[in-house]
Amino acid sequence: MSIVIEHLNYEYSDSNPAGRKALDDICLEIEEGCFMGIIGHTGSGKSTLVQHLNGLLKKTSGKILVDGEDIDGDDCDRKALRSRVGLVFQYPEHQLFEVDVFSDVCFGPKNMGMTKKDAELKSYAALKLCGVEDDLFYRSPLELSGGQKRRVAMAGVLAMNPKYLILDEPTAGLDPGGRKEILNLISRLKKENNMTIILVSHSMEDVAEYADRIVVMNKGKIVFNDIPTNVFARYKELENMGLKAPEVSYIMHELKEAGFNVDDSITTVDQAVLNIYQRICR
Amino acid sequence: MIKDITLGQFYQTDSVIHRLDARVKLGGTFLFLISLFMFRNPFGYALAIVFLAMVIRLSNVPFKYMVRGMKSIIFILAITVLFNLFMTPGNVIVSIWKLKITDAGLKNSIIMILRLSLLVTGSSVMTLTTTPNNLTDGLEKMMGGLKKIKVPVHEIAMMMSIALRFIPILAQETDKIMKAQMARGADFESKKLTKRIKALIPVLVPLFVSAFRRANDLAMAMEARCYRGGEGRTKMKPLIYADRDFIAYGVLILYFVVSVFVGRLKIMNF
Amino acid sequence: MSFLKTKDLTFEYIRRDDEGNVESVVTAVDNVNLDVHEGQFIAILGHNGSGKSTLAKHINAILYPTEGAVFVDGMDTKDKEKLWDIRQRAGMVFQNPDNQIIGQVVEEDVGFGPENMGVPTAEIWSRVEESLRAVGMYEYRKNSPNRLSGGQKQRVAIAGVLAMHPKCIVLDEPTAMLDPNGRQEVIRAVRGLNEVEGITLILITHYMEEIVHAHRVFVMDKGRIVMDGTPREIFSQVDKLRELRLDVPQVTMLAHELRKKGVDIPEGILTRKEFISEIKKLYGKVY
Repeated sequence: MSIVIEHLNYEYSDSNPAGRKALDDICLEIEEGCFMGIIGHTGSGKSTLVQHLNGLLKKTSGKILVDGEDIDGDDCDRKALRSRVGLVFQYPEHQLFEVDVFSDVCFGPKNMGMTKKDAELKSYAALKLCGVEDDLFYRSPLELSGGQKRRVAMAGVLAMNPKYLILDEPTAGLDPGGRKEILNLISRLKKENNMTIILVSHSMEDVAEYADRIVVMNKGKIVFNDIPTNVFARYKELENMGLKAPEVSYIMHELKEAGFNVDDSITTVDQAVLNIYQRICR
Repeated sequence: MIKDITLGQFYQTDSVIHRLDARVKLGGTFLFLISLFMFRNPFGYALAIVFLAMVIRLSNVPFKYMVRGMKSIIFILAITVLFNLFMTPGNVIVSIWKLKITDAGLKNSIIMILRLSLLVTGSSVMTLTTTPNNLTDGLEKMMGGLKKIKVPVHEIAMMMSIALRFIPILAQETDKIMKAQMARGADFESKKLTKRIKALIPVLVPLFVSAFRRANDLAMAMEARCYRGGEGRTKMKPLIYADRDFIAYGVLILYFVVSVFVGRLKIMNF
Repeated sequence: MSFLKTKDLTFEYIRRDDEGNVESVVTAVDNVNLDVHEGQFIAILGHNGSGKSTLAKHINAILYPTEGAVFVDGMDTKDKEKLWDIRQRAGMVFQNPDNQIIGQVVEEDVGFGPENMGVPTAEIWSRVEESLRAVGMYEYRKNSPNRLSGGQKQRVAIAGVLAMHPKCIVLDEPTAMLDPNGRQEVIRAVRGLNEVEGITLILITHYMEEIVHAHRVFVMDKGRIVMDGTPREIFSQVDKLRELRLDVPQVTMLAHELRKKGVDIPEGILTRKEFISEIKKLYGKVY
């Protein structure tokens, strides 16, 4: 089971003065159980792409199959699709509206037609999963800190029981501690709850550390679709697109150029420490 | 849909119309709007359309931008037309089921469509060719006399200018909020009116919260940049009439006199 | 010359319930003493909620101390007469670029500050031009801010402050809402102002890469200043920074981890160049 995108095109309606193609012949397969990172600078089309996966945007042409079902087919149930493919947007402030945290999380499951009791059970489980403490349940979402809001927003989507979870810049505006917590939570969802994760981000460091496959987008096209090592090996091409490999991969390249026998395909700090230690320092 | 509101969206280009003094454009728009309500026959409207078309042509703003403004009022337009069409007593032309279309109703509807679309397009020309700052400067100066009777002219002008600047930003935000709620299964396309109204709550609450936060931020940013009301303020772009402004006034008055004269002639009267 | 001095600065938020009774008192800034000299580039670090933004708002006299005092260029911020002088001399750039741009055209927005100060029209124009050039946004002067990228909007906001001819610019998390390219644009622009024009910079951030070139760094936690030193001194204490929910650049982290494994590399490595040359020094072949 997987999400399959075939020759997807999306153009802004002609009222846009640029008249630009936002997505240009996208072909992509997102396998169940993978952790895919989608990177690209602002305006590269990455957000536009993921908004197609749960039918928020209507393609101009092409085909999207979720678990074999054409999402633009007449018999496709929109609501079921949105619960199967959960999408968490960048700013939690855009979705929190209820008087308290708990009823806000219940909004999604209730829309899915669950009974009150089921919705509450699901919401409770989702809040717990996201590490939201009980004493916050009946607080107003407005009183929460940035990191807490983000967790509640994620719980609001998780409560609908999605199989695929898309996160659009989930760490924007958080401090380093908050970023780490959210990323660890996402990685736990994949490992322990077996969810398929699609992480849209412009932080190379985050994607390099967590994703097992990286898609690089530029000007509405997919430029690379590979494992992190292979993507960051093309760091010169990434730079031409206004992107960068993680700092550590530059270090490894420079060490190699300086004549040290290190593995220059390394993309995370932990691997680099080990490699440098074994190859140079011993 | 919401993104299409043209009102308050300045279109950056260079043209005679752009360079005109804001007071001329304000006065001109006002005269144009008044003229629309004085016509008694089709010739007036014909003149108004020709005049507006000429101004649009001179402004270098693509015509589709003007039309985008129309899209946002289509709903209001449709309602007024329907009301006029079916509710006006007169000689029945067509009758469908219990509804009767009368000749007077048909006439009224056509007049309504003409008036409203000219009205919106006419005001769009003004906002598309004048920066809000300029526009409010013009308003402030035109209403300067009211300051003497303690009307806070500067404050009103500033408020309008800020409101205009934030319309596109809030429209965009509304779009994002709607998407975020749709991703959680919110249904904005329900056929039931009660359901549709209820579906607005999850959009309006975040929107208001955000608008208040923005207002708060903006007030702080303005104070930090030494804003303290109109007192002692200088202008980067003070309004000074140039020759072209006097010519424009002349053209406007000419249009007004001629169109109202023609529009009130007793031929083919409504 | 000292430009900014805070003396035992304390600020409390008082929350009241519906009847106006005091519900709780939160001490956002707790007994802070700062001394910033003219021309310095100061960075204030801290996680969200550490009190760094509250502190920043005191410098511009947007907030006033509950206890203690703040002096900007020798003027007490509590002195109502000096309010506008203080705000002119210590300009402020905020986090959200959309919520601080008032004009619908770039140049009109940059002119907003000088207009408020009563600067004559001809001089406003020259100030607007010079400020937009200083941040590299002159060619966008006729554009609508809504069509600019985040980094460009922030540079316009900086130009807007610059046109008031301040001695100091306080930047309150100016890059928090930007992508990496936008962040770089903004930091480059403000560093230029510090180096070329000698403007005092107070940069509040939680991105560690941005403070590498600061002259002095303060780290805040629970309203207090808990660390104070050069970037190198600060980055030498990786474990303490992590406790404070902060991070270090990857290169610093790498050196730190190697050191833990017994490699004799100094703490507080700030750049790739330094790292490579240290490794070469230790293990490089002698040609």
